[in-house]
Amino acid sequence: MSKILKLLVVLAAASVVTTGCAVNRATATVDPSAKLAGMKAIHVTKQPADDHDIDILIAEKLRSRGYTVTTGNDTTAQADALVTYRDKWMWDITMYLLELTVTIREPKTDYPLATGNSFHTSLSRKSPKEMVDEVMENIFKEGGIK
Amino acid sequence: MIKIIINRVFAVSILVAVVALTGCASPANREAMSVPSQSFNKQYQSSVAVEAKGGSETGAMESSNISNADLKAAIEKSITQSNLFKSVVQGKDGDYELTVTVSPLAKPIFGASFTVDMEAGWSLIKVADKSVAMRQVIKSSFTATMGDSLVGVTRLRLAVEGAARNNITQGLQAIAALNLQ
Repeated sequence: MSKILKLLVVLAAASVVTTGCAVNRATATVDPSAKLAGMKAIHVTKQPADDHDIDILIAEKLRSRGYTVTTGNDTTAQADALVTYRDKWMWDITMYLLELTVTIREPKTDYPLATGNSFHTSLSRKSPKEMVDEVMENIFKEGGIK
Repeated sequence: MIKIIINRVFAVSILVAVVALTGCASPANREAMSVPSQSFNKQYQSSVAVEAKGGSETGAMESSNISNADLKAAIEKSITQSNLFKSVVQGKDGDYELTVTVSPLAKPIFGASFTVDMEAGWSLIKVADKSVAMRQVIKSSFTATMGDSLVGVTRLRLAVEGAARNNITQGLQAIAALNLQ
């Protein structure tokens, strides 16, 4: 019976400190006013806490699409659009990228022109490059760019 | 042998009961996201149509999300209760079109206090000439503590609802600060 009580305590504790279960998701939203195809210069703002060079991966992806891309901590760079991102990492045997959100913004107002988000839990984890590819391709697709 | 079987059946029953009682997440409630009756010291004599985008449904295996339908309803109710606009209409028949586009919420996975950060683009267009009356990014957050709920999924939902409520409050305050006709 003591084992059952221990199990009950563990489950109760888990229900108190956790927020939900697993999911895989990939979505994108693009504002009708966003002219992604008309943009030429894009600046990727590096997250101060990013130790995985996600900004570099995003920049490489954008360059492969023909954009002129700069990266760095400078948020006031002269560009047609600013890109910000939020990466959430999780540990399961090894660290993996659980969630990536990329937002393309209007430089002057910070207004979000397009946002993409991918969320993959451990068993269907993707590499950071694959996550970046998935997020950016969904944004382009939603924005009508092939 | 029988005792072992009984113990295992009992353990499985407890597991099922705990999962059923705590479960996975429920979506943010439109009533809880609405701004309680509050005057913004402005009453525009025009109508507005509301559209919400970027939200997502809460799947059985996910944590709390905000659906477009619930966010739209919460904004409409908040506008109605505050009398900020003369009326809220459906479709394209309003004097103004308010579009609120939510970015994915920043939610914690684990912890005692849950802080949810929300960002939404608020766009108000005058239908007659398609001029932009407001185009603003609104950022909000809310922290739900163990005092709000001991159950994690409920605590997260409360944090999501609070962040949405704060976002709607700020968005409507920004609209009230305009001088619409």
